[in-house]
Amino acid sequence: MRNNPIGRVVGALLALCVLGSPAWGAAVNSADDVGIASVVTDTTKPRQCVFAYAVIDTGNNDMFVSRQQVTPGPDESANRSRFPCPTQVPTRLATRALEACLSRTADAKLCVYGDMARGFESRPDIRQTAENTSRCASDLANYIGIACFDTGDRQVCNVACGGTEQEARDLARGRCEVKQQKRCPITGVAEILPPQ
Amino acid sequence: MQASAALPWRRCRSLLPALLAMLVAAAVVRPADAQAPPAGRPIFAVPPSLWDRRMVSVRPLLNQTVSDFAAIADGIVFGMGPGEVNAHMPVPAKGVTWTALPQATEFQDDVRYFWVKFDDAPNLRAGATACAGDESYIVFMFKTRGLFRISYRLMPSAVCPRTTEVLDQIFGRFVAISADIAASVHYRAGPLDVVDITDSTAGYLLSTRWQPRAE
Repeated sequence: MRNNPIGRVVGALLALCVLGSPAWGAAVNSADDVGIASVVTDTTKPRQCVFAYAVIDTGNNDMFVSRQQVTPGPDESANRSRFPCPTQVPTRLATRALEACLSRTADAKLCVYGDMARGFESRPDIRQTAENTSRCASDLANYIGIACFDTGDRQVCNVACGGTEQEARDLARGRCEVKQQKRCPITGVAEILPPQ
Repeated sequence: MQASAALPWRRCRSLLPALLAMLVAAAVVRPADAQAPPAGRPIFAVPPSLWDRRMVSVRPLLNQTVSDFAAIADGIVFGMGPGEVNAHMPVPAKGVTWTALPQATEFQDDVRYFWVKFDDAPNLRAGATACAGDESYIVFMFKTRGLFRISYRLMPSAVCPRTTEVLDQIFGRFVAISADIAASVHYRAGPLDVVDITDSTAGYLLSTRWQPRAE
């Protein structure tokens, strides 16, 4: 085996596997790379999962971001200083988020979720908006972006999540322009995590 | 064959200067909307909520108190009498007492008020830096128990034709206060933008809105 080139390669790979195993402590891959929880303890206090919702008062065209933080379970561990978000999100979180608008408008009927269907301007109703596409999760993105076009009476908008402020804005604008078939020059962006 | 194949290229070559000129023109003269920078709008952040891990029960994430409100309103808090609020004005008006105040007719109850020009109360701008114009003003509304509403009424004028920015700044500050302490509502009233900041314990008075009388 010592003189066999294939044997040398196999030997090197075995050595790498042993040296690279968690038992050796130091060389642990990023949890993102291998899809398992990191064994390295976070040095900073990890941030809990936050769902940020975009809601809009279509009467005034006021945009709100409503953050819903979720307490992690005892068996959950942080990845890159952030706890994972649940994959199933009850609609009561969206309802709570909508209250951000309901309590701040003169006409509650005008409060809707930020991500709107095509043709919203002719049917300005909350049923023409989607709560699940109006939210961003803190374990997957850093910013929630919104982009709109103005019909004269009201703004028609769409929502996207991004790693950076610019990405969230650009993705929202792209989504709006594809979905609404209009230019969407009115944009806004907010951090998903609340300031500490 | 070669000659005929070269013919389209010759035609194209003759068109090249014209094409170049068109490209230069397109780069210089673009439609107005393409030149305009994208309009940014503020997204108002409301106080966050905290859910348990099963997402069944919820409570406010932040422990806000009346002090958080007072910090924005320059020490004014709900429940103060007209004289106390008046004392917070840079130039307190004379004779501000309950009996001397006019009635606010949009309410069925006995509600009284006094007002001050926005520009005359820089301490009550809630940190806003944008222009509000000389037509904008702030109304303080009282029940017998004391102050229950501060109403910002923003009116565009020749000196400040757009009050959207100052509105966003004021509304943005008060929206960050829990609705359990101070309910902030924005609405249009004729040509004015109104931001009402109302004591959350004001009951049915909370939902009463002002509209300017038709002249």
